[in-house]
Amino acid sequence: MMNDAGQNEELERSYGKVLHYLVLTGFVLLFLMFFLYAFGVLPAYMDAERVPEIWAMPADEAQELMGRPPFWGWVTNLHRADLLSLGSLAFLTAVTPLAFTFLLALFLKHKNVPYAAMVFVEMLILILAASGLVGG
Amino acid sequence: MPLKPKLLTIAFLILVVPAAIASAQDGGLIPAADMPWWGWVILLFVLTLGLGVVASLAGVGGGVLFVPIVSALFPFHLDFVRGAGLMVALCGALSAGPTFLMRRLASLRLALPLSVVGSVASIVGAMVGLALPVNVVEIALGGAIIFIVLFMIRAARGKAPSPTTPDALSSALGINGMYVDERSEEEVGWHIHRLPLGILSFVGIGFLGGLFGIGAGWANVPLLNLVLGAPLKVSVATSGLIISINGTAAGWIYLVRGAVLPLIAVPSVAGMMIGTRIGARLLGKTRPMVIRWLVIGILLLAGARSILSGSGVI
Repeated sequence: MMNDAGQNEELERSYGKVLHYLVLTGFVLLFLMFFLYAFGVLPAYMDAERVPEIWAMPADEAQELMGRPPFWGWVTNLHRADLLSLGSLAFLTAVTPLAFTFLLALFLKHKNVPYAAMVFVEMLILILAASGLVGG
Repeated sequence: MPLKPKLLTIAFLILVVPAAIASAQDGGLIPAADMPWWGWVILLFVLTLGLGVVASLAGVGGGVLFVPIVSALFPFHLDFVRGAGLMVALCGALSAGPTFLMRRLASLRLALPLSVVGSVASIVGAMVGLALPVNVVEIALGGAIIFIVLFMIRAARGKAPSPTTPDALSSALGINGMYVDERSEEEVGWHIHRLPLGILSFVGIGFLGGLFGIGAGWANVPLLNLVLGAPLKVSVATSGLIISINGTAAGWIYLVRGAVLPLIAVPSVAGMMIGTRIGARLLGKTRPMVIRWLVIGILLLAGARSILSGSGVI
């Protein structure tokens, strides 16, 4: 079972396809949201022309000066172009954990317990990092 | 105009001109205060496009060039440069991942055990990097860049051993595969050895990647190829897969801490992606070794500058 080349190929091709569609969606969102922000189509929490006031500061100080809500606050501020643009970067950073849910199901379907366990642990690590519970 | 001078002119325009303007932030050609935000964004896009061309021609990841060079030339805080650097490395790895997987060059079975330890180390590296004073990070970054250059020179001279016996762990995990070589159109089978040593090494590689936001292709590829014995093509493709996982882990730490500014990250990602595609097309028309030595020279200068800046000399 573990050395089944056919299983390997099916897994990698399927994961590759899922990754392809997620990455494509991510890049479309990335450039669309940046366009809305940079061209002032939607209001921003901090307009692009004011960003040079904070980009030379350490991240903590800049965050404080901006008075921006904590990271996950963008979810409730979807009308703000800068937070939407940040959200599109977050989407790209979420591509791997999203694709891993599909990969976990594939490994479980093939009863490949060691790899299913590795994918599950990796998902937990990525979710922990995204939660802000570590280093947030 | 013959191709080589034309290429050099283009390289000069896209690398040196923005660099000269950007480095003149304090009262030079264009003082920082007089440059509108969009001017910096365009300069960043043009410079990262140039870096993408050079990175692709030299066979190095964009992230390792991005952080030392952009931090040396632009008025951005190192936190935001590292945050953008991670996004550049992550997006580059994600965009190449599906093709490599579908061509059976990237191996999930090889990437996963290394990524589990690498991503934890990468998170720790990101947290340490954001907690340390900026001058300490600058000195450490400079030291790391010079180490990476020496590592690149050594790795370029190394000869990949062909493993005779797979180790017990990689056999138990079924880490092996087969890909079709495009030149010979033959199927090439492969397996690895020394997996436990590889897992241990990824603790250090993941930590450095998260700490400096530089991606880790410079270390992943030689480790997979020279130490674990995977074929070079499989090593390059699987390295991208590993960066897409470890970069995600560190990327979240930078995002949540507010160390990613879309105005810096998005033009950098766009420039690097377009640049690497142009570089890939030019690959057959240039001499990769000349470009590689050029990159080594640029990195040495950027590393030295980072140490001097962190020490307060400049």
